Amino acid sequence: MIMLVPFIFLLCGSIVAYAMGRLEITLRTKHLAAYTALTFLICATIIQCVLTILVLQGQTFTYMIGGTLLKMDALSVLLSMITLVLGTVVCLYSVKYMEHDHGQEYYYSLLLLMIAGIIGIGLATDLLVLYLFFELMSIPSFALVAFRRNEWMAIEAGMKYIIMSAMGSALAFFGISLVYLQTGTLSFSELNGFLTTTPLLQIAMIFFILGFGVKAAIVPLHTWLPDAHSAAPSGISAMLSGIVIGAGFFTLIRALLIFTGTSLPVGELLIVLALLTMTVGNIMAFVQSTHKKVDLKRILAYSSVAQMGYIILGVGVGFAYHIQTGYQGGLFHLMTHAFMKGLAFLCAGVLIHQIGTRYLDEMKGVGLSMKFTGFVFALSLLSLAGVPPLSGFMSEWLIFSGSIQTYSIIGWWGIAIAVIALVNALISLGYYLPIIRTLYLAPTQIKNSICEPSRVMMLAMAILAALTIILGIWPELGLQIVKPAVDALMIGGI
Amino acid sequence: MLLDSTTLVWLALTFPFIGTALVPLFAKAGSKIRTWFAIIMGFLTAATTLLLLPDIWFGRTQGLTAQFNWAESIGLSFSVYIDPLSIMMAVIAGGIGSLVLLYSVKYMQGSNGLTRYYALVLLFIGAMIGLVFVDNLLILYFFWEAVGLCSYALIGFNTTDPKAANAGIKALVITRVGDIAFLIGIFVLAAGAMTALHTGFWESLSIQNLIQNVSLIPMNTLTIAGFCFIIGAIGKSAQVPLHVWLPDAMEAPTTISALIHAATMVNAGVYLIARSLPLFESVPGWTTALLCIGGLTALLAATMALVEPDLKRVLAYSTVSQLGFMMFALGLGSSGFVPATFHLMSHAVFKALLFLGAGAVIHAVGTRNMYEMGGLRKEMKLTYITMVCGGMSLAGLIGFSGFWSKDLILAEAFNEGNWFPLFVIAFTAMLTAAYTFRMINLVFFGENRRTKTAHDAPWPMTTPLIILAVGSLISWLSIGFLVRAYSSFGFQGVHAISLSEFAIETFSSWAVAISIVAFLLGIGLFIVRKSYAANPVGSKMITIARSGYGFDTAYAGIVKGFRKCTIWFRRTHTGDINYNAAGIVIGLMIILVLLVFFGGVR
Amino acid sequence: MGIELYLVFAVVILGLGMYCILTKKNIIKSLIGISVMIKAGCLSFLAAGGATAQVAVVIIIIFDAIMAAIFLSLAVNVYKQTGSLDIEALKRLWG
Repeated sequence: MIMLVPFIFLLCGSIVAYAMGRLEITLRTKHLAAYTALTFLICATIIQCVLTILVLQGQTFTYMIGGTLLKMDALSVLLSMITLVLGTVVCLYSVKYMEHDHGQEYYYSLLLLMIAGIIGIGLATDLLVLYLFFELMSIPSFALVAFRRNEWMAIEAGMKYIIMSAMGSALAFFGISLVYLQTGTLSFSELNGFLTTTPLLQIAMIFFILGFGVKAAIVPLHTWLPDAHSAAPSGISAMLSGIVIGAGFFTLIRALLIFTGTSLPVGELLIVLALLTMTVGNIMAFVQSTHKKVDLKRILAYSSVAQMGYIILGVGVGFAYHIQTGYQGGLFHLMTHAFMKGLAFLCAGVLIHQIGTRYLDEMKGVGLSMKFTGFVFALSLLSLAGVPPLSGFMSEWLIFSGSIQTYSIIGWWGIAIAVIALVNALISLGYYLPIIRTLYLAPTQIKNSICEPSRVMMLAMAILAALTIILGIWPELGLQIVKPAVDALMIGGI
Repeated sequence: MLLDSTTLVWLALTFPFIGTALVPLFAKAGSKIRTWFAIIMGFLTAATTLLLLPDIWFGRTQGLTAQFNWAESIGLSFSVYIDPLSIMMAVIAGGIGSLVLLYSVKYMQGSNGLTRYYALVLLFIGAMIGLVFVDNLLILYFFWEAVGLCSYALIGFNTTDPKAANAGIKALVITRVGDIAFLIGIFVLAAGAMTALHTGFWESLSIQNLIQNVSLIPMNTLTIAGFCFIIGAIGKSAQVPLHVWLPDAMEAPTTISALIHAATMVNAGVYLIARSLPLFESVPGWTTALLCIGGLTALLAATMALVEPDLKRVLAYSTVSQLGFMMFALGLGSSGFVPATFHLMSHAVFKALLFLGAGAVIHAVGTRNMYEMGGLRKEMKLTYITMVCGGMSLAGLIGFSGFWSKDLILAEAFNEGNWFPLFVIAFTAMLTAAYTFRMINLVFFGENRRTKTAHDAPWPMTTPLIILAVGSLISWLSIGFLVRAYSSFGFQGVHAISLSEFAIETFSSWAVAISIVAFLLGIGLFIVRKSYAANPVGSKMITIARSGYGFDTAYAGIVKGFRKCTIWFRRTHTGDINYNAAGIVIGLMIILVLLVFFGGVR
Repeated sequence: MGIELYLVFAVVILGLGMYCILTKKNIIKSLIGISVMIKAGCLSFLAAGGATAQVAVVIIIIFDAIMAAIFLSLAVNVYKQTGSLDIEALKRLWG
């Protein structure tokens, strides 16, 4: 039962935050819903930390609920830790960032619900429950993307997001039904490793990749992402780019793990799709700088597509050839990317908030007047570009190491994979570095009134910045959580 | 002894990083405290590396190793391997680094963002020492990239200047090209070693382990890895065709040019090649490639240095050219190991001196254009004397350290018996003398073309100059220790000699005649420069050399072409919902094609 | 035999839903297409039978309804801003 506490806390918190939000309107006070949500999140995080330590010591928690089993193992601990840390930071940031928006009660209750959904994805032990929590994550995210519903951008992005996501969900659901039709069961413990290749399962696998792949922004299913991630409020962008697409991919792995015993080339498919994803993501992020007006958040959104490519490559290499370093890199990058991309979006949000424009050209020299924001933004971008001693370097490095280890299995193809991935790392410099340059150029049209955001927002960014640096110099901190998860994946994720 | 070698190694590795972490804190206490704290950390680092020197060079400790588990979960351990080569590099990094820090007190006074400056310089020193100390290739790559980051951030130190910011980006991107090749090389080597030696991934990355088992590693792996390492080295060490970033990097503060772009970071490529020489020496064509690249770079860069009007860019091209000398020497095989590393050491000292001297001149005059200087001999007496010391060392006047090391390279090329490379490198030595004289003449002699009066720099700036000038006179005296220490490497052609034997050997070879004649011809070329420039062929050649032989244009063209392609590619993202949804169908088709393709794989 | 027939129907319905989203220019028609696609999954689940299938179908219907509600609220906003429900209007963000 104790394993469900963080999840239940978040569900309750969602309801209480809504109530507090209503109360806030009646009493004409401020921040009531925000601080309620924050309290619940912090409590959930603390309990999750305790649970994480217990799980890392080898304990496994299970709970039967109405005939289905929920289990907290190393994989779910990894996902929930990332989510809760990022979620808490985003909530802290939103206290000030969202204070002038209407509909606080919806914002915080939906945010908590989304986080609860992601935690649930980790706990599921059968396909249907997995799908259920997947939807619990998706539906609040639809509403959150279109949260500022009087802005055109939000509406259009929300519309695109919902159509693509719903299509994906429908396909994934169909895939699940095919698995059920073939085997008569949906539980991982009965499926993983026991399947043989049949036409129906082959189709089911395709539908899983297409369906869950929409959320994971696998090219060519990524077209909703740049719109949705750049149109959402910045806190939500940080959540979406940081962890929601990661959780989508996590769902995909969980679903695909049932095919481990079959002869289906799941891992190889993931590798090729990953290379496609990172290339398209990087090229599209690069091309943003040729626009007349460069939309900062759109570059970051496309960079998320590229970074997903790295994650998928790492996991795909592990999946296909049982290379431990690949899994380690992929999962570690899931973690570091959550923090650094979260940080990048929070910083972009601050810039947009303080300057009142989302276009990079009008941000010349802000780093000189907003020293802290400029510094942490540069930090996050350098980390994304894979520059040591920041965390992004460490995880990308592990992914590249993993992908080259395929050389001993598939020969030159292994080197080709690594070369493509590394050339992508080169292209990515072409759009991260100009952002930093622009931030510190001599200001041309900046008003003097530009100043740092409130201390609460700075605290939120400082936490993520510290994590980005610490995970770079002392990767062991993150790898300790990653390692048991990798061990679980190596034996088929049961 | 209280401080044993292992402790010293860890101290040398931690002092700079502690400094980086604490500089921002000390900045809160006041700018003076911060500056002196940074300098103290720098000198502590230098002191620890110098204390390590006797232990290694006198052979008391051979191939000291130390380990520390960095990331246990992935089996990554930080293994340190110290030998004469790495300790020499570390002393250069720590010693010149601390002198540059001292010099910066006055030179950088009044600039914005000095906290960032000191933190980055210390981070650079630490990363450089890490780079030369580690044994694991992937951790070496970590530091390799970290020094690249420092170089990027310090070139663009003056962020408000778009030229500096662009130069920083250019430096990082172009060196990244080399780095990628280097990383691929590491990976291929590791993958080959894993299968051949039956070791784990991380163990297969140990350089010493690889060198010991080089005969077991398959040749095709070695070939690819070897050429990838060369590309990595030419990126970092600014060799043709990836040299274009170094002249642009002169937008950095002069102190940074002296430390990073002359004395330490650019030597990392040479260090890498020297370090992996035993690995790849047997690869066919590998040493020839080094010989060609080194010779070509030395020649082209020397011609560009001959016509450049910007004082710092002259020095930059001269650095490129001297690095070409080192690569050339390594291209002679294991017998070129001592000349290359010896030249690396003497070059680090005299080039840092020249840059710091140039910094003092620029500081006083306020311009980098040599045609707006002139006649500084009397006004900046100390700078003049020290810079002449450095210049003569660069040109190769008998007695200066540059003479001994360059002569050693020429002697090795002479012993090799291959005339064409010897001719190229001797010709370049001649050009070197010519452009050195041109530079010194334009800056210190002739009539006064300046708008300002100048005067000598204050003591924190002149002290490093004097120390380095003395260094450029006497650093060659360490050759005896150096060669004796190297003899433990077991290279053929490296045998312990004493200083006197070295001197006798130098003057008993015909090669010394070549280097003296090249020096004199260089002076002759300098004297006839006016009539050469008046000649139509000569002026045409000068124009071509001034344009940098079109490398920059070519790279700009590549970037432009890539940009055009991406703009075309952008049209595939229409934003239309119907098209977006069609992505699912496209995805389905991609997966089906792949399934057919992979169907035969398993 | 029966199951295959169900399956064929389910696939046909799935295809129809997809066709609708791919070609129709009206937002509401897109919603209908999505709903049809989801129903295809329901059908194939029901073909298999069993308690799990029924639970799954009930759950997916609930989610379908919530999704449709959010979708429609967005559609209302689109209508408010553009005065039509044409998908062609949703092309301002691209590239």
